[in-house]
Amino acid sequence: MKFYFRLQYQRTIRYLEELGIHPMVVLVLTAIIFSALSFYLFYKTEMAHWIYSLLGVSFLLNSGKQERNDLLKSIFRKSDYLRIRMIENILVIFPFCLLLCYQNFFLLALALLPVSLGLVVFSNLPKIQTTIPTPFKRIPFEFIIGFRRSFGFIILAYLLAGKAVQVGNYNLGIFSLMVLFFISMGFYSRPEKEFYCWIFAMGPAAFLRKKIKDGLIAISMLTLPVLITFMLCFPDKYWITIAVYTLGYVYLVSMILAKYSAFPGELTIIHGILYALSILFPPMLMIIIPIFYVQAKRRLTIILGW
Amino acid sequence: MVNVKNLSKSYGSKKVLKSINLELKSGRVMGIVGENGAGKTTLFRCIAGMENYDGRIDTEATQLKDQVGFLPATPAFMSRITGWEYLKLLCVARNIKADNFEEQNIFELPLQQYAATYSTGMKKKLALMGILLQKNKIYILDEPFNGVDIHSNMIIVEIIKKLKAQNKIILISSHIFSTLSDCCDRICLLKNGEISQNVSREGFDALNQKMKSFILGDKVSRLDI
Repeated sequence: MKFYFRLQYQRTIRYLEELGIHPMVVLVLTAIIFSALSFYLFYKTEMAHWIYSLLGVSFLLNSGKQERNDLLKSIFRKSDYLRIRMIENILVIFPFCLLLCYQNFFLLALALLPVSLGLVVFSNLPKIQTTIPTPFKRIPFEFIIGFRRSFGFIILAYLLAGKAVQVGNYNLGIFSLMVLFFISMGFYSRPEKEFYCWIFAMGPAAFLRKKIKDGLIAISMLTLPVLITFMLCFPDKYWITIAVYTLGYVYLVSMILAKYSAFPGELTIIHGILYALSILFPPMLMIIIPIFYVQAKRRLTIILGW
Repeated sequence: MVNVKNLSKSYGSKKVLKSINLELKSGRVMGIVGENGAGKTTLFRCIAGMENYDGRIDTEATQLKDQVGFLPATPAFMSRITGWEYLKLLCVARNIKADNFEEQNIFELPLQQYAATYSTGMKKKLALMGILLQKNKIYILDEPFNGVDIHSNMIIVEIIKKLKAQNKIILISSHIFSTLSDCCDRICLLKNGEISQNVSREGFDALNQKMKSFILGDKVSRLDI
């Protein structure tokens, strides 16, 4: 078990070294960005502690993927497997607990610990083979997969939007809309296998146009009901709603281009930093979108053979 | 027709393919045999345009890659997409408007289930069905018979014969010589990245014998059993 964790540590170091960044720099930067975003969230909304906890749980779910669990199960004895997964989950949730304690949400911080342990047991329960229906069936494939993967979070975002309308809290409403856009951007955070790009009989520009068109159609299907509801329920703030909505479209486009600018590799820390900056200062998008576009076209030219 | 001329491929200092020459004709089935690591999959990936290479591949087609249906030895499927959605994606990628997949589901696959949960054989059949729906001119099938049940094997052989009758170009690899000799017009033996034999139907038996004696040698007799 000790060897396993040493191996994970070495993997992380190797990954960072391959990116050409000193691990210490990443450690410090991650701590700063994590703290800054956390404080910003608590400063911005009163619901921060709930959102923050959900965020922590989503990280837990992400680290407990079935393929990874299956691999661990095949290697270790059941007791060792459970111990490894529990330690991993506690390591993931610990920074969130720490910040919740700092913000005086001791009970919530305490509750996250049994949740993180409970998820290990939950992931061990036999799975029911069901196919989650999706409205994006004819627009393969990012939204199909993403919708199914984030089904629970999408429902939560809708519930949040409903609650915002019910209590007349416009800020909460806009937040739920932003959550929907963020979730959708996440659908493009991982590259597909090269084969799924190679099969397309079109040039890089046409390919990117198609991906962007499909992405915009799908996100509209997901968010238009919320937009229309807000336009009807908060008519005096329609221009803010439209502005946030348009910005959401632009962020999605930038994410699609970012994904293919690194394709077939994964998004790098540089992408992450550029995004963090563009969230703080949205006009940055006007610079990063053309850069990502040119890089994406170059990458795709090799794979699409044009 | 596809003409492969002096195709070579290296990974660093390791030469995987050495000056390969092949002539793939319409309405003909070319088989490739060879040991594991002989370079079959790399050759297929080069012809499909998935790898860079030295040498030339001449063809009448303007974009060879866009007319190739490639069946990988182990098809990879994304999680959480159903068989139906996978087929739709392959059609969308080639601008083919089709969604009557249930009708053409000759392998009786559970198309509404997630493809990643299929068995090895079912995955292979789904991937094959996908490239057939694309109506390609060239088919590159890497180990199409591996992991597939005997009934489906028979169906695949018949599909290859039908494709041949439709004047398609077909390139297949297999470890099972008998299935190759059933449907191929020519078979090449790939050894250490080179084509060491290229024979027509008349030479299949001799090649089979040669392969057996080369592969077996005295290996089994060296075992103390």
